[in-house]
Amino acid sequence: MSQTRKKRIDGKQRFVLAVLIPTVLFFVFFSFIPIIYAFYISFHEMDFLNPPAFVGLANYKGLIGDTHLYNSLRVTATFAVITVFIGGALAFFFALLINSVKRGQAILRTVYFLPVMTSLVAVGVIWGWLYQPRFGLLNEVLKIFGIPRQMWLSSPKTALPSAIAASTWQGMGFTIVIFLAGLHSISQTYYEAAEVDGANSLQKVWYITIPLLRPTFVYLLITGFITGFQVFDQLYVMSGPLNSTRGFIELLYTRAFSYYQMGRASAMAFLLFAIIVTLTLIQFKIVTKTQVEH
Amino acid sequence: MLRRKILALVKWIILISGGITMVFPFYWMVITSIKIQSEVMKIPPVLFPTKITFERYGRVVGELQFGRFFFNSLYIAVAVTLAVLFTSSIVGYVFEKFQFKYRNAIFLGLLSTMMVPGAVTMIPLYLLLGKVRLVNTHLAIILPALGNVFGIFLMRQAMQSIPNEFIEAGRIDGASEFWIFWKLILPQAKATLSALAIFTFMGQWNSFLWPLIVLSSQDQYTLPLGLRMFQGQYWSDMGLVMTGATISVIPILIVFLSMQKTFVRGVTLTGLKG
Amino acid sequence: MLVLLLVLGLSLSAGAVTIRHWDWHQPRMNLKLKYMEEYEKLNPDVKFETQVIGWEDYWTRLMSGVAGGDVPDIAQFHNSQTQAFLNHLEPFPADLFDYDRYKEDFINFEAAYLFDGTFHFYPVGIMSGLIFYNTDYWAEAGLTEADIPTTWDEFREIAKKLTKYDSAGDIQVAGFVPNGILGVFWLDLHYQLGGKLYGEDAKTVAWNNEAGIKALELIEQLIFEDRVTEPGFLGFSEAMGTGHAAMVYSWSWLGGELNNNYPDLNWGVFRLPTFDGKLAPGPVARNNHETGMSVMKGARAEAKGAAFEFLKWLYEETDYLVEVNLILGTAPSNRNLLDDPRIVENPLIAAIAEQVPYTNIPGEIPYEVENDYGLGMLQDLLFFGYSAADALALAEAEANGVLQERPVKWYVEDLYVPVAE
Repeated sequence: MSQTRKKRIDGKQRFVLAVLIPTVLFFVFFSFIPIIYAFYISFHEMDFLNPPAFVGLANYKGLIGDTHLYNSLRVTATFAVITVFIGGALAFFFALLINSVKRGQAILRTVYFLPVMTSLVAVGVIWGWLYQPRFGLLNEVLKIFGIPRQMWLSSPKTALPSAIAASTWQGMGFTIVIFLAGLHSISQTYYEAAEVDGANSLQKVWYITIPLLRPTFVYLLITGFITGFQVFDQLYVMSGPLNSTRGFIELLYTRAFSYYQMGRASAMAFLLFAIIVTLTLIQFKIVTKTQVEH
Repeated sequence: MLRRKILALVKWIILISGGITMVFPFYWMVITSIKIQSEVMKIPPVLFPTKITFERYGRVVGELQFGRFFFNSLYIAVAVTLAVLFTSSIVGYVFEKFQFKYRNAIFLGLLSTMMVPGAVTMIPLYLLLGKVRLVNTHLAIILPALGNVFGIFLMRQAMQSIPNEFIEAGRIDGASEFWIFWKLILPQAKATLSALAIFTFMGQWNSFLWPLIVLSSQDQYTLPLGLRMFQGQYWSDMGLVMTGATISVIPILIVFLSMQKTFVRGVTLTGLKG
Repeated sequence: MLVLLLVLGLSLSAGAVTIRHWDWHQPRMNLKLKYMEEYEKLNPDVKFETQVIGWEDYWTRLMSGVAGGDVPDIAQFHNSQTQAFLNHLEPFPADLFDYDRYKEDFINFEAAYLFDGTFHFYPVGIMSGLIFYNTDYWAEAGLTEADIPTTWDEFREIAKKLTKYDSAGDIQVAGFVPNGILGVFWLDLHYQLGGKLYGEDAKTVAWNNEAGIKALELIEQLIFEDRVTEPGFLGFSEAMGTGHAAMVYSWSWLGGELNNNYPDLNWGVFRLPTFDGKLAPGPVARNNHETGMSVMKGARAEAKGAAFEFLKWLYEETDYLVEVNLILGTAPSNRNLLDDPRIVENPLIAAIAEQVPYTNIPGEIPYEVENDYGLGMLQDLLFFGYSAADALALAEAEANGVLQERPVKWYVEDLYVPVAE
């Protein structure tokens, strides 16, 4: 008995090592080495076109008091928080609706995924027209209700909310598909049992769906912040005046590839890294804490 | 009963009106690709073209080495997707269902690689691949794509809802660890796997900047690289751009539609009898 | 003859060579391909391998190529990238290219092309800002070619006359649309009033002064007094193309865009009006050069000689320069080509050619100074209630911040020589 048990543990260990070792080696080569190189660059004045010059902490010190950077962080954080929470809630709502439909579900899934597949250039053009102050559709609709013309993307005040709304709409299909995959792995038997107990739809969602979808929520929360803080394309195709929609990565790109200031851009990258790591650790803490309470 | 009917009606009104806004830009993309040139850029946009033309499709296919680009893109995207499905699920499975030292630390370490913006690691990785003589080959695109941290995380979360009893049952039967993973666990994660397949295929199919940097001969080009030739500095032809966008969406649509079925199938497999 | 060519070809090249070339502009590449094919026939040992990479990614690709040692032998070049890439371009050899003649023949040759006594990219054409107008609206309003304005006062009257409002009082056809390019337009007015882009040694910009304020006030009057356009109206190119503008300010590339994307539009073009109606002494506007190709330092040694031979042939022994200027909508940098009948007959290029001698090239303008942290801000500040002086002060402060972070080394604004009347 003890003999077979030992063998079993070895088999498990062997399996774990056979998976982990190549994985770790892979990430060391394709991720960690480039990241360490980028870290090295962040202490240099470097453009890949001329010999690098060591500048110590100058690139990091330059981040302090950089008002463009502060502004871009505010834009990016606003984007991340709204898309994760409001975008996530909307996607959950639509996923539940789609999931509750018996006939035509396949068509609905496809339709709601279409914006994710549509070229971002097309999305930018269409929203640009919807939001156009003088000839756009949205203001035409508002006029019917007697509401005055809005500037949408053309005003520094409304540009960011407008861009976030369009982007949330565009990316919703992605989140819906993840929710649907989670919903499909919940066994129907739970709902049948609840029905026997006389639970209504809302109660079923609250007491069964949401607790059982916990892994999906955790996934979306954590990856949502990691990707939300690195948003680029969605804000880039819908830019507002006076840097009102200029996100962190756009600023980083400008410095890296228009100014050829790789050192500065790398220092920015590691500032963002520090912010996201901190946020992720806090999220993991909260997640494991609530797990214990359950 | 009446209340139920009203609720169902409200539900459909929301779903359909939401659906219309979802289809709209896609419709506009497709319709713009077949408009005659004078209707492409109108304000407000022409939603129902008076005349249609397929001339741009002929041009896009004719001017590019279209077949070659398409084939390059397709085989790279398929290879990467299959590999990512396998690596993500097996690594995710190990992280979720096995206890080992530094498990959380290693996992966070992997996750942290996603937190450094790709803009600053792109050229270092390119130089690294140059050192091992991998540039200007398709391997330079495929290899770095094989490990997908978000995929690993997604599969790890999906494994949470698979009861441990499955694994124990397999072990009691004397099955190998790999067999348990492959035959007992993987089929239960089908819905999530197909979601991952869609995202991975789409991401790889649309991938642009990295292939541009590592490839230097036009024979190796993927479709997005070819299509970008239609956007210049002071010059972009919306009709041609939308034609390219429409062509490149077709394979994604096919993958999406074919993955649809597993969303339904996933449910029936659960329910372990104790 | 054929035998002679063959012998010549064999003696020139020590073996077959493939020249790699990159460009970001498909129409220009199509023209090059035509000539490359001809050249391959003349020189059987030379082959070309070309690639088009979109503008936004072209420089990132070239940069990583330089870093990783994978560059084209001949790269299409643009002078906005001078500061970054100059060290990586081969100087044109003086034994093959006649420097003395170029100083005579090429406009702005010393200011725009010579660095440390050598040039690294071939002069092709010059662009500048012009007024494009819708000839149908022009005729509808009873105007003829004789009414083309030469002063800004005349221009204002015509813009007012051409503006159409709908029943609600909203602008249907704007008389003049600077939207989307307002800051660039302002800089030309600033030049006309004696202002400059840069202060001393290009360490700062020089915008918030009497000339700058007066220039911005003219735009303010057009928008808020004359109401020939409004905040939130369509951008200049879209407005012109879709028939919602009677006149727009744009650089000459708009011509190609209008022909391609709006084939049904009837349009014309005229040179910028001035405050006194005269062009001399200038400058009346800024210009920039559409530069040609460069041979990369990182190119393979065996390809470099062949690359220069090809460039010499293409630029000096064929009609390429005339044809490429027609495609780009630029006036030839080579004075001798300004009289070419194909150039003279093209109304767009004729208009630039008339204006070009009175335009100035300031040197490098960092992208951000021209856009989000500089000139690009003027429009939005003006639209959202800032006075001309406040708008200029704010934009100037941002632009100075950029210049401090990223000093301009190529600075030739003061080389402008006023033209005698």
